[in-house]
Amino acid sequence: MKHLSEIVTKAKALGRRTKIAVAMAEDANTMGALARAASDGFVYPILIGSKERIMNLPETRKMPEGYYMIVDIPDAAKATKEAVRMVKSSEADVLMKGLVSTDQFLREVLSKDRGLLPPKAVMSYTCALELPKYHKLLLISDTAVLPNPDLNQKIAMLNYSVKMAHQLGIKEPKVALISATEKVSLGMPNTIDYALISKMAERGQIKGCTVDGPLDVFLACDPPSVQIKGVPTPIAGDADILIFPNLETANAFYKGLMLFAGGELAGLIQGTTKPVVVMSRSESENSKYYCIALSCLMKEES
Amino acid sequence: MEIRKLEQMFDVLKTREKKRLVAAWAIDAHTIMAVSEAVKMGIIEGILIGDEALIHKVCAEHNIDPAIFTIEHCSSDADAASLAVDLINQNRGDFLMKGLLSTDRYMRAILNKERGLMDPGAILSHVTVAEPKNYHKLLIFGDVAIIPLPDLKQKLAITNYLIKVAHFLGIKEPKVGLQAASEQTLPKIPSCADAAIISKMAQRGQIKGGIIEGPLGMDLIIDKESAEIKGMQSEVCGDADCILFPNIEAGNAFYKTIVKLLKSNLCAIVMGARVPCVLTSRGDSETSKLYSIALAAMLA
Repeated sequence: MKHLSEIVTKAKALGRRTKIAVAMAEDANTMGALARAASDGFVYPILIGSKERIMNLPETRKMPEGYYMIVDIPDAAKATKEAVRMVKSSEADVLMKGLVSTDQFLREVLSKDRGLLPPKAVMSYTCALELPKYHKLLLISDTAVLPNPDLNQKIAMLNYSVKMAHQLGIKEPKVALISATEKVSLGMPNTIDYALISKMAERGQIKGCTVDGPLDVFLACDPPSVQIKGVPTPIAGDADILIFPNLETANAFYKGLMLFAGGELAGLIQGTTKPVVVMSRSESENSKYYCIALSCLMKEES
Repeated sequence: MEIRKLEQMFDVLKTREKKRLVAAWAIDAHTIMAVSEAVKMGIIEGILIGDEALIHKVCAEHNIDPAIFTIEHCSSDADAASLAVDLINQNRGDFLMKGLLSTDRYMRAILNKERGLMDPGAILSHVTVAEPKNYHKLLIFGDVAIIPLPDLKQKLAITNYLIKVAHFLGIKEPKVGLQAASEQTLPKIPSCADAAIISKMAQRGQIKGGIIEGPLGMDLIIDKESAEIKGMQSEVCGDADCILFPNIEAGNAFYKTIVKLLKSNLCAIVMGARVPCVLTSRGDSETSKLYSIALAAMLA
């Protein structure tokens, strides 16, 4: 898969509308993306928030008649609670954040009794990038949730990303564990974690993918670099997934690509029982639209 | 030539220039007889450090001609150890052997910061070379005697020593098995985790000169059939030249099993000092002492 538009094609091909409960569906950007997805026939938005404010948005008028509903709860905390409740009780398939703070939104998702995270599950974030200069989609984690993942969290990030790759039709994704170097160094604890993870994969303890690390981004994504450096790696510059050592690195990597390299993205919260869409307000409407399509695919088979 | 039997070391040494053994406080029959055996075989030169009168007395009792040795007189075991180390540092000897002094005193002389035999940061470790019955080649392993619970850095040093010893025995690309509780990478079990890290480092070319695989259970290291049953595909399995043990208990039990249960021959040296050091104990057989001297001479 090279283009995120292929995710949209797959979402359309599902032949049914995914119900998305949107907490505080009151910002133009989110609503624009939802209206597009609803018009394209693969989404049924459940817009929770102030009915008055929702109706006043020009984007609401672009929603196809009869294929969306509004739940009038003007208070952000209550609207979020209701959105999570609907998803948890399967009245909706996907949860999406609107004009509510990420903190407030995630607190509800993480709530022990009302939330969507199974006990002991790791919550993480994986996003798929479309990059003009790369020959296929590139999945990366974690750009948003885990600041300093430990070994178990890194393994969880990897497994979530592999699962997403499988659902996108990438059968045996190549996973590169990203560091500044391919060497294992006692002074760089992440490289120690990576050595463990890649050995675990070698021993069949991590399935459905090929894993190697530590690798730098060149060795992960650029075959000529692999040749020049002569590092024998099964990833061979053809990575499908990059696991980053921490949030700062992953976040800077994707934002740099969005800004300077014309990238687009589609990302989802991982670890929840149902797909959860959280995007920052500065993300483009296009990216939001792709996120929505991705969430429709992830709710299948999962 | 690749050494496949310990006695082959003698053949190799006879073709080489003789190395000079320096035996510290060599005043007992055990030490003097072992050195004399090696000297008579023509594989080394022997320098005995100790009380000259005592040495002559022991030689007379055992029909050994003291003239085959160079004798450096000194009157206490503590002086003998530092004198022995001095001789090495003055390039008047090529490797060291412990006589009747305590291991503690011997090691202290080697480890002495100003006058000893250590380079800064060097790690002292014990390497055994065994010839176990029922195994098709020599087994080189460590550490069974010096480092009780090696950390990752020490394990890397030990791994490199094992490879180095193998090279000196003519084994070009030794296969090293990293012994652990399981072949699974179980991050909470240190033997498994460290082995995984070391084997990854080897994959990245950070450890050279050998083929390294781990974590592996003991069965997979020495028995091909077990490896096949468990589906482990590594050329190390069932054909290992070297074994890194995760701790002294595992290594020491293996060492003693070879000696006492298998009644097989083995020898050992201390690595990490500027020259190889022989550290035999009185419990070792004459053959084992002789092999240890030969092993040190091979590496000197």
